[in-house]
Amino acid sequence: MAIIKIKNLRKVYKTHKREAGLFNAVKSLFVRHYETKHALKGISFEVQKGEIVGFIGPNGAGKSTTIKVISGVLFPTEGEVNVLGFTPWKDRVKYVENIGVVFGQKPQLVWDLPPIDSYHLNKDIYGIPEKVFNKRLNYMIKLLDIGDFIKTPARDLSLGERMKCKLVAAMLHNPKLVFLDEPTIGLDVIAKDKLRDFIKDTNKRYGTTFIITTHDMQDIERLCKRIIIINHGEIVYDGNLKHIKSKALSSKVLDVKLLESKDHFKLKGCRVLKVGKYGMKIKVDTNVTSIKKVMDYLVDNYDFADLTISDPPIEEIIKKIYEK
Amino acid sequence: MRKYVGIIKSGFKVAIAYRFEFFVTLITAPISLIVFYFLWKSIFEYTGVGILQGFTFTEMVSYYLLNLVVGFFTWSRIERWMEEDIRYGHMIKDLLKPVNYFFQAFYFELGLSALGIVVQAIPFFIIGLVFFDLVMASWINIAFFVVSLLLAHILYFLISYIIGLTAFWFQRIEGLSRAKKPIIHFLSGGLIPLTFMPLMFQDISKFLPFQYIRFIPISFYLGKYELNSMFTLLAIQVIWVLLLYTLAHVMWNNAFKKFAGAGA
Repeated sequence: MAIIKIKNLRKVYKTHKREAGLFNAVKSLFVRHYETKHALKGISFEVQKGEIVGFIGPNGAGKSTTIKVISGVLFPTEGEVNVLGFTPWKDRVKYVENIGVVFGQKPQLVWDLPPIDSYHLNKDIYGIPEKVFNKRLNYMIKLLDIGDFIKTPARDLSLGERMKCKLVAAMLHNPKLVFLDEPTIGLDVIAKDKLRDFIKDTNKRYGTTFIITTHDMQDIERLCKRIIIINHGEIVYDGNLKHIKSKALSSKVLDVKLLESKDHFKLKGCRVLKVGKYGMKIKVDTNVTSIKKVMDYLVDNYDFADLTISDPPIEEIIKKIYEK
Repeated sequence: MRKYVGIIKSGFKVAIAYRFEFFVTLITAPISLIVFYFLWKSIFEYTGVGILQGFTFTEMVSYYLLNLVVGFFTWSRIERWMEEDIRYGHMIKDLLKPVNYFFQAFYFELGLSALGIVVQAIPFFIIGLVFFDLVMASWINIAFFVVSLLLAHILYFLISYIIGLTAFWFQRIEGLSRAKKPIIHFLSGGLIPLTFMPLMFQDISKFLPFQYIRFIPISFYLGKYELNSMFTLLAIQVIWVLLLYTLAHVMWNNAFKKFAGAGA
């Protein structure tokens, strides 16, 4: 069942621009140059219930704009959006009861109060029964390990602590649909792991649908089966993460540990990335040559102790797509 | 309803978080009362008149005492919160909650004011009764006073909220916000009873919302009007609330379109 249906979504901004300098600043008091920016150029996609979708793209690609439109705080210029049966920006108050949103870069807790007070506020606003509230809160406190600081005013928390607390605030009412805009920004490795586990667990337990934008490819690899890549306001890829890997992958990386020091590795379709005294890293272009040929060449010419073949990191694949 | 009780509670908690500011008013409020007490005492003694512009000395003291009490109901700094939220795009956090923005702002500030009302306004009222010859008004006058006070609270909030909404167009409204307080204070009779003003000023005041914030509720308590006039004045106060609420509503719809159109 598709819970998000988006058809031909367009968004045009009007912004004003001015050159640097005092004179231009004064001039802009009287004359303003407006510029139209096409943030979204007609994107369409659907999301099924229970999916975790990675929404990725370079800075300024239109990720946040899309999230804002679907969460009801931004009007599109054109297009149809249907989420859980609502047109988000028209029926805002009713609609937002069903969703949870975390903007990594914006404060969402009551700044002067400890997070626990924000949670109680949410309990009242969303009308969560006391029992359910306590159960969910305890579950999340345990899973995210935030028990130590939910009684400290939000302004005194660190970035990572606040992020985890924000996530809890957005999830207390058990929303069917959750948007996370850069949820792992500024988190350490352990915190990132906890957050990802939490997302996975919630998805499994409640069938919650997640849409996650991130620049951290580890998030994507750990969480998402499906990714949507957006660039310059257009969707450039929408599909399986594995599929894009095999499709975009025309190369493999070979890591060879040698028993003897030898140089001059030369073979068509291969590029030496790194070479040490007892090892080297080779990138193989599988369009030109095959792994077998490279292996044969290695066996014939080298005495090696170990060999690993791996895909280039996902970052490289994404970079390739961005640059297209 | 539970939504709004929750919001009031969180406003109350924020007020407590800022308890230093609260203690400061605990000291400054009586000081202004003492200053006005001695100022008018010497004015009455110097002029040697029993009644000045319709006020006896005791009534004058009562006026400032009630002025102090009313002041705890009629204040708002919502425009400062709004300005910040709009300028930094933080308003998104409120828009993502299933509540009407106006009511959420209103109840939040009600929670903020609650502390002052409970811990200061009511004690000051009692202190007035006991130590400053404040007369206990007739129950009719008290009823008018209370209703008018609640409307005054809403009026003050509406004016601040409308100023806050202008931040959608102007971004920075610090100047407007700073000017607001003394202007309303003066025009509402917070500095001096409006009967001391020229007649033309008083006539114009009838058609402005400001005198309904302090002067009218206080005069109701002091029994300065006939029953008929009280009804008329209360009606005008209600009309002002409705007018400003409508204006705020229209402005919000446009502002939301602008905000949502420009992309937070």
